[in-house]
Amino acid sequence: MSIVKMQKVAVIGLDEQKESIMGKLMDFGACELVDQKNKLADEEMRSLVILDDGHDRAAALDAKLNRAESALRFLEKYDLSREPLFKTRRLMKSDTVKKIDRESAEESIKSVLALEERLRETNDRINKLEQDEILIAPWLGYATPLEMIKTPKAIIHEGIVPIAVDVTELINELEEFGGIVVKRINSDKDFNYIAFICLISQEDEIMALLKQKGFSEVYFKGLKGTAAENSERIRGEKEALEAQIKDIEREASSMATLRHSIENYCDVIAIESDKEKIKSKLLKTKKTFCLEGWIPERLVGKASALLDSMNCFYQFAQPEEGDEVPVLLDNKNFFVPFEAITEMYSLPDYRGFDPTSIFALFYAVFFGMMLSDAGYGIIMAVGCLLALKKFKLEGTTYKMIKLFFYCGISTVFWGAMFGGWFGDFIQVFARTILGKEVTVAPLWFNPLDDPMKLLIFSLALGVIHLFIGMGIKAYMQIKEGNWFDALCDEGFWYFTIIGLIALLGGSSVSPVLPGIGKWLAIIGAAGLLLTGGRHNKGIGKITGGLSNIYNITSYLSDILSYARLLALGLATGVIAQVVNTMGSLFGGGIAGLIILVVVFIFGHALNIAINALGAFIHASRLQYVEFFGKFYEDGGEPFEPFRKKTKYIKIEQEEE
Amino acid sequence: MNMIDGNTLALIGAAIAALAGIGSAMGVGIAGQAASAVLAEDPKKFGKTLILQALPGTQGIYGLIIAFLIMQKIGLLGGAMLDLTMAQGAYFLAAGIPIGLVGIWSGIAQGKAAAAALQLTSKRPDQMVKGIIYTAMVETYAIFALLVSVLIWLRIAV
Repeated sequence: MSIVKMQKVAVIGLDEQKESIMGKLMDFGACELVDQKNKLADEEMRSLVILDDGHDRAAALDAKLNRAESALRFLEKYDLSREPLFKTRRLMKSDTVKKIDRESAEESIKSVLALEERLRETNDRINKLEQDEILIAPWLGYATPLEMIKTPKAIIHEGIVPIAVDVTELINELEEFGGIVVKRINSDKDFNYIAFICLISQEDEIMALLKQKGFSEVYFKGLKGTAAENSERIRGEKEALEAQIKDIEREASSMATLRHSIENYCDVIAIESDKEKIKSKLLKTKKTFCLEGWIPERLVGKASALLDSMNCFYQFAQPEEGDEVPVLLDNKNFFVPFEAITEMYSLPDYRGFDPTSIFALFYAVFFGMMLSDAGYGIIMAVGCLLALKKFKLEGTTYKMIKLFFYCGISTVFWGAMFGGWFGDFIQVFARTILGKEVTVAPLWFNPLDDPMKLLIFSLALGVIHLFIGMGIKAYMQIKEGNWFDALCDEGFWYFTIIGLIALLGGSSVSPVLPGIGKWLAIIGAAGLLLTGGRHNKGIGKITGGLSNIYNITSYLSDILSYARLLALGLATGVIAQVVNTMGSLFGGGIAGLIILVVVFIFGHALNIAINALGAFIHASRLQYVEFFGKFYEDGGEPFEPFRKKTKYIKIEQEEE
Repeated sequence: MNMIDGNTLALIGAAIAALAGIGSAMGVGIAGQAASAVLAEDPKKFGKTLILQALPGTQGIYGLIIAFLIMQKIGLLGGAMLDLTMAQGAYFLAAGIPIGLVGIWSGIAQGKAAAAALQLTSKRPDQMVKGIIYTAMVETYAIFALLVSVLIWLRIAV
C-alpha cells in the first residue's frame, strides 16, 4: 500500500563490455536510466566525457520496424480469422526468441509490401478508368470517334454549354456561318453537350462566338474510337482489374499465417532499437562508459550481484532533495486493480501518499450502490471472470477487468440488499406469464419505499469517505512535524462537521446529542476563525479566519455530492422497471413471452451499458474530486525501467 | 370552466419532464459533430467516440424516468386514469419541472464539454478517460435535479 522506495545507482564499466552489460541490464528490467545531458554543461566534465549516441543505428532499426508494422497492418486488414476480444502477448522462451529467423521474416515483409503495392497500383488504374467513364458517359450517343479529327479543310470540336444558354438559338446562330454542322448530343441538368464540324478557315470566329456563350471544350485525352466503344472497353478492363483485386485480396488473406513470424520479428527489432536508443543516456570516455539510474530498494542486492559479475564500479545512494524520483505503486493482491484508478488520475508524488488501498473498498461500494442490481452484477462479474480465465491479460487491461469483476460482486451485494434482480423482473414474469404473485424481499429495504433512509446512508458514507481523506492529510502533516497545522486544517473541521451533524440530526438518537453537538461546533468554528489566517499578515489574519469559516459551503457541497449514490441507484432500478413494464404490456401467452424476452434482452443490455458507464465515471469522480481533493499530491513520473518492451510476445526468462 | 383539472396538470408535469430530451438531443448532436470530425482522421476511434457522444444522452433518460413514473402513478399506463385533485395535479407538475428544465441546459452544456473531450481524444487518446470525467462533471446537476424530481414524486399521495 505504498510507493516503492527507490535508490539511485551510478555505474562505471568498461566500454568493451558495454553491450553485454546493457543486455544484462535489459534482462534485469528494473532500472530506469537517467538522462545525463545536463552534466555536460560542466566544463570539466566536458573535457572528460562525451555523450554516447546510438541514434543512427536506432533510426535504421526503426525504419525496418516501420516496414514490418505496415506489413502487419495490411495483413490484419485481410485476415479472415476473427480478431480476439483482447489482444494478448504470446509466451515465448528466451531461447526461442534468440532463434527467431530474421531473414525469412524480412522476406515475408518484402513480399507482403510488394503485394500491397500491387493492390495500390491496381486501384489507381481502376480510378483512372472510372474517371474516363465519367468523362464519356454523356457522349455515349455520339457516333464519331473521340480522337481529334482534322482534315486539311475541316475540324471537329466537342464541348459543353451551360444549360442557361438557349441551345436551339445557338445552333441557329452557328449555322449562319455556312460551312458548319452542329449537333446536340446530350443534355443534363447543368449542360448541353454539343459537337460540330466546321471549316478551319472559320474556326477562330466560331470559337470566339462560342466562348461568349460559355462554351468549353471537352478533351478526350488518349481515348480512341467512339464513346460507346470506349465504354465497352472500360467495362471489360475494370472487370479484369476487379478480378485481380479479388485475387490480391485472396492472396493477402492466405498470407495471414505470416503474421506471427512478422510480429516476432517486430519485437526483436524493437528490443534492439531500444538498446541503441538508451545509449543517448550514457556518457563515455575512450575505454569506459557511465550510467545513472533508479532501482527499487528491494532489488539493490540483486543489482549489486549483477554488477559485480560484470566487473563494474558502482555506487548506490538514497534520493536527495530535489531529485525527481520515478514512482512505482506497490499494492497487495486485492488492491492492485484499483491502481488503475489512481494511475488514471495521475501518479502521486514520490514523497506523497498512495491512497489506492484506502479508497479501493469505497470504490467498489460506490459502484455497487449506483448500479445496484444483482442481475447486472452477476452478468458483469461472470463476464469479467470469463475474460480473465480465457485471456492472459496484462497491464491496465488486466487491472480494469479485475476491477470490474470486484465491482460486479459489489453490485450483486447491493442489488440483493435493495431487492433489484433485473429490476422487478421476477415479479413481472410471474404475474404476466405464470399468473402468480410473488414477492422478492430485499435483504435490507427497497430504496423506492424509503428514499430518505438511503439518502442519509449515502451522505453518511460520504462523510466517512471525506473524513478519511482529511485524516490522510493530517497524517502527512503530522509526519512532517506540523501537528499544529493538522489540528487547524483538519481537527477543527472534524469538530465543526461532527458537531453540526449532532446538532441537526442527533435528537433522533439521543436527546443529549444536540447539546454536545452545539458546543463541539462552536469550539470547531472558533478554532477555524482564530487560526484560519495564521499564515497571513495584518488584516489578513481576520479575513483569513472568515474565509476559512466560509469553506463550510465547500464541505457541504462535497457531502451533498454523495447524493448521487441514491439518485443513480434509483435511476438503474426505475429504468429496469420501465423495461419490464414495457415487456409485459402484451400480456401472457407465447407471443407475450417472446416479446417479454426480446424487450428484456435489449432493454436490460442498454440499461447495463448506460448505468455501468455512469457508475464507473461517478465512482471515479467521487474519488478524484471529493476524496483526492482533500489531500492528494500528484505529479509523480511513472517508473519506466530499461527492459525488453515487446508488443506481441512475452519473453519467459529462464532462471540461471 | 373546468378545462384544467388535476389530471391535466399531472400530464403537463410528465410532458415537462420529457422535455429534458431537448437537452440530450442537442448535446448528443453537438458531440456527434465533433465525433465525426475525429473519425475523419482516425476511423479506428469509433468505439471511443461513441462513448463520449452518448454521455449527454442521460438527461433524456432521466426525463423519461420521471415522465414514466408520473404516468404510472396516475394510472395512465394501466388503463383507467385516477381522478386527481388540483393540488395533486400541481404536485405532479412540480415533480416534472426540475429534471425537465435542468435537463435541457445541462444536456447542451454537457454536449459542448463532450465535444471538447472528443478533440482531446483525437490528439491524446490516452487521456480520454479524463475527458469523460470532465464531461461527467456537468451531469452532476442533472442527477441532482433527477433526485429532487424523484423525491417530490415519492411524497405525492394518490
